Parts: sequence; C-alpha cells; structure tokens
Amino acid sequence: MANSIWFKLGTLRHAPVAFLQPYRTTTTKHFNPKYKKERAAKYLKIDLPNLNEDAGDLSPEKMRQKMKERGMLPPRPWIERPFYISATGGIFEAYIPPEGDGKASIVSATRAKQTVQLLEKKSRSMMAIRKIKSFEEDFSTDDFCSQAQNIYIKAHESLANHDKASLQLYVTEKAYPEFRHNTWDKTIRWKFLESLEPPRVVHARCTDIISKENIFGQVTVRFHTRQQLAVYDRFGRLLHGSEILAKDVLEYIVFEKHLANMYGTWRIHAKIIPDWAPPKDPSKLTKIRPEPEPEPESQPTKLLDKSEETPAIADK
Amino acid sequence: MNTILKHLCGVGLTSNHVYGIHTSAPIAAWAKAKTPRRFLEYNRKIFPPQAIGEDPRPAFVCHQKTNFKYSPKKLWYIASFVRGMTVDEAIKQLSFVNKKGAVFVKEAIQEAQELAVKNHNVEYKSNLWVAESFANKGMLIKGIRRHARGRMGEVRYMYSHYFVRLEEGKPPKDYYKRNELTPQEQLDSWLEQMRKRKIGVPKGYVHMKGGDRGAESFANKGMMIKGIRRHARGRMGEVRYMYSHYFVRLEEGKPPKDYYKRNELTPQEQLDSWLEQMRKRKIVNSY
Repeated sequence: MANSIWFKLGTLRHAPVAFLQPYRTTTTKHFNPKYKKERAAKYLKIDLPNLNEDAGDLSPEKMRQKMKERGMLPPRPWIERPFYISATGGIFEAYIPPEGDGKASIVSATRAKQTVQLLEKKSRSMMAIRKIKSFEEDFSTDDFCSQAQNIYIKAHESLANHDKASLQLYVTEKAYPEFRHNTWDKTIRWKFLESLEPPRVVHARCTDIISKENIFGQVTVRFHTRQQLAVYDRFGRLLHGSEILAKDVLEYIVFEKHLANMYGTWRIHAKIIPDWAPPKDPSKLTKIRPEPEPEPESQPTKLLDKSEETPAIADK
Repeated sequence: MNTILKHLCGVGLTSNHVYGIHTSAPIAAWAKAKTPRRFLEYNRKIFPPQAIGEDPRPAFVCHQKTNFKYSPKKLWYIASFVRGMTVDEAIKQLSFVNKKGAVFVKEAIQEAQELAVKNHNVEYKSNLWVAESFANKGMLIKGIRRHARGRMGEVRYMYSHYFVRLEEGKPPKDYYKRNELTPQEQLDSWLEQMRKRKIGVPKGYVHMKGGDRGAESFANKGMMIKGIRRHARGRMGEVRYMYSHYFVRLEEGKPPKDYYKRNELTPQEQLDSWLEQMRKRKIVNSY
C-alpha cells in the first residue's frame, strides 16, 4: 500500500509546475476580493450613450421613454401630396408607332391596318394643331420640327454636362427624374451626328385640366438620327456604348407646352417606346439574381389584450 | 480641476447617481458628437474616362464606422492586422480574433463589401482587398473617480472611429514590405556576404612581421612620469608627463600610388558607382 503511494507521489514530482502551483490567468482583476465593493465605489457610474443605436429596433415604449427623458415631442406626421400644375403627369392618347417603322416595307397586314387607323387619328391631330395655333399664332409644323430638334439636342447635351439648371429649361418636370435617373456619378459622352430623315410631327393632342381654359398641348415628333453614346462609370471604365461607334436611332419624342401659360415653352415630356422595339442590350456586368420574395402566409389574427399592455411611463 | 468640475455638472445630470434633479433638458456631452465626413468624400470622386487599350482602373469604396465604444489604442492592432488581406481572408481571420473591436471591424468590412457591389460597379464581391484600414479617436466622455484626501481623478471613456477602403483586385504579395526570403535565398545571401567580407589586419602586425607595406613611419608611447596638481577642497589631481618614440624605415624606389588604400575614384567612376548604388537601393515602406 505504502509502496503504491510513494510510487504515485514519485510520478507527480515529474508533472509540470503549472499543475502543481495555483496560478492566475486573469490580470485585470484585483487578487484580493475583500474590498471589491469599496473599490467599485471609487468610480461614479455614468450612463454611456450608444451612438450607433438603431432607432428602428427600439420598441415604441422604449422610444417614448427616451423622448420623455430628453423632453422631445414626437414628430408631426407629414401627410401632404406634392402637386405640380405646370406640367401633366403623362401622355394623353399616346401615338402608336406603325410596326417596322424605319425598315420594314409598307406592304404588310399590320402595317396596312395601321395606316387606316392613322387616317382616322389624323383629323384629331389637325384639330389639336388648330387649337395650338389659337394660342400660338405663328405655330407651323415645319418650323416646330427644327425647333424640336434643337430642344432635343440641347436637353441631351445639358444632361451629358450635368447641367441641372439648363436641363430644366428643355425638359418637363415629369421627364426630369427620368432623364437624371442613374446618371449622378457617370460620365456621359453623347454626340448628335446627323439627321437621317428630317424630323416630322406625327401626332398632336390638347387637353384641359381642372378648368376649361387651362389647356396643355402635346406634340409627338419622329426623329430618325445617327448618334454616338458612351457611358463611363465613376472610375472611367466603359459601361455602355462606345465612342467609336455610331448608331441609328428612331425615336418618338413627346413635347409638351402649357398653352394657357403666357410664358410656357415647348419641352421634352416623354418618349414613346413601341412594343415591337428590339430588346435592350444586356448589361456588361453579371449580377447575383435577387432571391424571390417569400409568399405572405396568412396568419391567424391574435386577439390583443389591451389591459395587459402598459406603457413604460404613465402620462402625467 | 476646473474643466473636470465643468464635466461633473454636465455628466451629473445624466448620471443615475447622486445628482438626480431634472430641472431642464439635460445638455449631454455627446449632443454634439461629431462624425467624420472627409473620408467618405473619396466615394464621390469621378475619374476621367479611360482610353480603349488601357487597363481598367480598379474600383474602390471607402467606408467608416463611427463613435462606437471601444478604445482606439486597442483598435489600432486590429486595424493594422487586416491591412493588405483579401476581404474573405480578413473576415475569416477577424471571426477568430477574441476582441470586442474585431466585431466592429468585421461589420464595417462586410458593409463596405456590400456597398461596393451595390453602388460602385464591382462585379465580384470576393475580388476585393483591404487597401486602407485605420482607427481614430472618436467622442470622449470624461468621468470622475475618487482619490484619497478628497481629491478626484479623471476617467476617460473613449469612443473610436474605424475607416476602411476596399479596392478591387488582388492584394500585393508582400504588403508590409517585410521582404521575407526563402531558406535557399537566405543561404545564398549569407554566402554572398561571407565572400564579400574583408579580412582585416590587426594593428602592429605589419611592422612586427617586417611589413609588406614597404616603408614605415609610426609613433608609440614612451616613458610616462606622473606628477601632482592641486584641486579645490584639498583634493589633488594627476598630471601625466608623456614621452614618445618615433620609428622610421626608408626603402629604395618610388612610393606606391594609393598608399592608404583610399581607393580614390575618378569623377566618372564616382558617378557610375553612385548610379549603381541608387539602382540597388530598396524602397522601404513608411508604415
């Protein structure tokens, strides 16, 4: 028996020192726990703010409590709808471009049907032009086409130069955000090379809004032009188009004027994209497809017990 | 002490300690906590378009995390640690760093990575590396602690900012310019060094052996007599009266061209050697 104990002690002797002596790994605490409370009382405890607190995560009660602490009132709900009355919000009776315009032959079934429909609409266009002439005496479709082309070029140039003030002169308030969308950190190189066909007025409409005298005029102009476009990203890398490649562009641009306004001007209002237009070029970048949104599950409605819910701080 | 007293009033209103009287809206010390703005301005810089043959300019995104409760001194270690890593490597490494600050840094890098893909035209989110990563001091709240004999001390509750810039592409091979050599290269450089060394000749060896330099002229210490001089406070000093030997050996013929082996170079040779030296120098990173 004794022999075996000696044997065990003998083996223990060879064990590393760390296992035999108690030693501390914590160095941030005082070794003597006796006056812990007194030591802690040396510091005046203060509430340290969390400046990265997400206000969305806070419960309404907690939010209310915080605002009461600071003596703040909840923000006033802002229920207002901005309404702009110097431009319309859309196109009325939009022009339907004939199929295969610019390339296909006139002899085709859909094309023939469309020409008949066009004749019907032409009379209404004539009436609209007459209405425009009653406000603007020296309005003629031929002069307007060259004027429209000038507006078209100026609008695109001021967009490429990021000149917001001049863009507003050539573009209505409805088209302005559509023009400026996705352009803020891009470099745009745009050039108008030539007109393949002279621009012509294909459609005209007038509408009154709110009162009978408050009349807006919309004129659709067909442009068949040759242009150059290159879009670079923030780092000067080519995103779209090319500066050495010219492209033929067929566009139907809607111009609008507030006819009732004495100082109204013709401005670009919208662009009509026909359904038969060729699909857009795919983007040069590959992207991860966003996950499909989960279908909303119908949940059994819970009966909320009002009496159980008590606010954090009672109103006084 | 005055400044501390001022803070005492500021903090006292918001503390849950003794001063619990709310008379007006508390003017909190952190009500005007500033957030740094200049670093994010780099995200707004627009570069000129590149020519057709040029290498595409790498995209980058700057991001910051501001005013979180952590010491900037401790944050520095983590910020320097991830510098020069790929994004995936940095995130992986940070998830094993057992520090509170590592969580903030990891979050900041992940946010920056998402921003790069969303706003800055980066195609693959793994193709990024940590080009800049540094920590700065944020807001500071001063607290008080008691000292003996009614004195008080200042406690500094520090907040930090963390800044990160991710760049598109692969990180450089040796970001910190540690210039690590392989064992073979180490051996080679040691060998080269050993071969280049000069074998020095101990002093006095030349004339003892009869000398391979030829003629000689040298001086030595001779006899010395020690004298005494007075100093202040009755002390005394030693005066050394020194004697010298002079040795000379003349030899027949002309003296050698460069006796002192000064290795004087012609202007052309000087220029060449300077050029060589400039080409060979190593550029050391200033970090």
